[in-house]
Amino acid sequence: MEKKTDEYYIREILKGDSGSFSQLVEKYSHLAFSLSMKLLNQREDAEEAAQDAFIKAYNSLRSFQSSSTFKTWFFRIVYNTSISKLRTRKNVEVKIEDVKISDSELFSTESAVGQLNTEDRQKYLQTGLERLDPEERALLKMYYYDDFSMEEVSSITGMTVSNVKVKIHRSRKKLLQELKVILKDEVISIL
Amino acid sequence: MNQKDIMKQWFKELPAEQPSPDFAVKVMQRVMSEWTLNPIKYQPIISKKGWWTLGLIAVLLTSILLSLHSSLLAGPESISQPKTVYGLDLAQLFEPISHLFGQLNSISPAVAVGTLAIIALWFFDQLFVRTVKH
Repeated sequence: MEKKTDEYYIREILKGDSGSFSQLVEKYSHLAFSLSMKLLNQREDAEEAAQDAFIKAYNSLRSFQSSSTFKTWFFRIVYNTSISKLRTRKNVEVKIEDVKISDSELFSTESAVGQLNTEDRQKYLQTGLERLDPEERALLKMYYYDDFSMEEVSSITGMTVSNVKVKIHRSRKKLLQELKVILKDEVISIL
Repeated sequence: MNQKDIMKQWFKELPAEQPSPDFAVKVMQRVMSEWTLNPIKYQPIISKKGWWTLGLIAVLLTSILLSLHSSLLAGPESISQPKTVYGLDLAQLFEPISHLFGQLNSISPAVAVGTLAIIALWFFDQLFVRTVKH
């Protein structure tokens, strides 16, 4: 079947064809759920937040302006919905921790992780990500997995571009620091 | 490979987090219940009132033009004396219109019937689409 653009489906929905929304759901459900999951780290909550985000997007489709892409606009809704859910779940304090890892340690950890086999790397990366703050996980995911630019991440999260740059840089360092700890523990357990 | 590419590669290796298989169905069920509560109505570019106004203007314009045209042709004095309305020479004004109608007369009946049939089909198509959407 020929794939149409997001704008085409939006026009159809606004004309009254709600069924066209299923095309957008099909296309973005995996990415929306994945982002929610990074923020909420709990399957049920992530599904609920992603569903809520779709409903919000459907209801405010008229306010969507094509100055940004539908993907960026929708991800902003997913991000805000998940953050709200996270805040209601617990009082989230955004910790500004000092990342204590030197550049040489950073490089050696990166190369050590790079030498692991894919399966082990997946396992350790997953564990490392779980140790990060939800916001840090989401930022890394958007930048490295979803291929969003710094500007797009800024538009989704509402942070300034410079803030996004700093946070992504710090989150990456923190992830490598966690990976270093995980690898060290692993080596100790083997010995 | 730079640091960014290395990270990208690691992230792409992670298994995709998939929602439950009935996720899309659940979303669409909620969308449909939202729609029944507050449907997005089809809004034509030109409203019914607009169409009526346009129709009225067209009828008025046509009748004015026809009455002016017939008054221009009426009486022998119209030939000798050019008719003017607010300084406008009507004979000169209607010349292109008469020429156009003269041209239309020369169109083959098959072409005329074909064109009318296309317009009629388009009209019924529009009518059908609007009826379905309302």
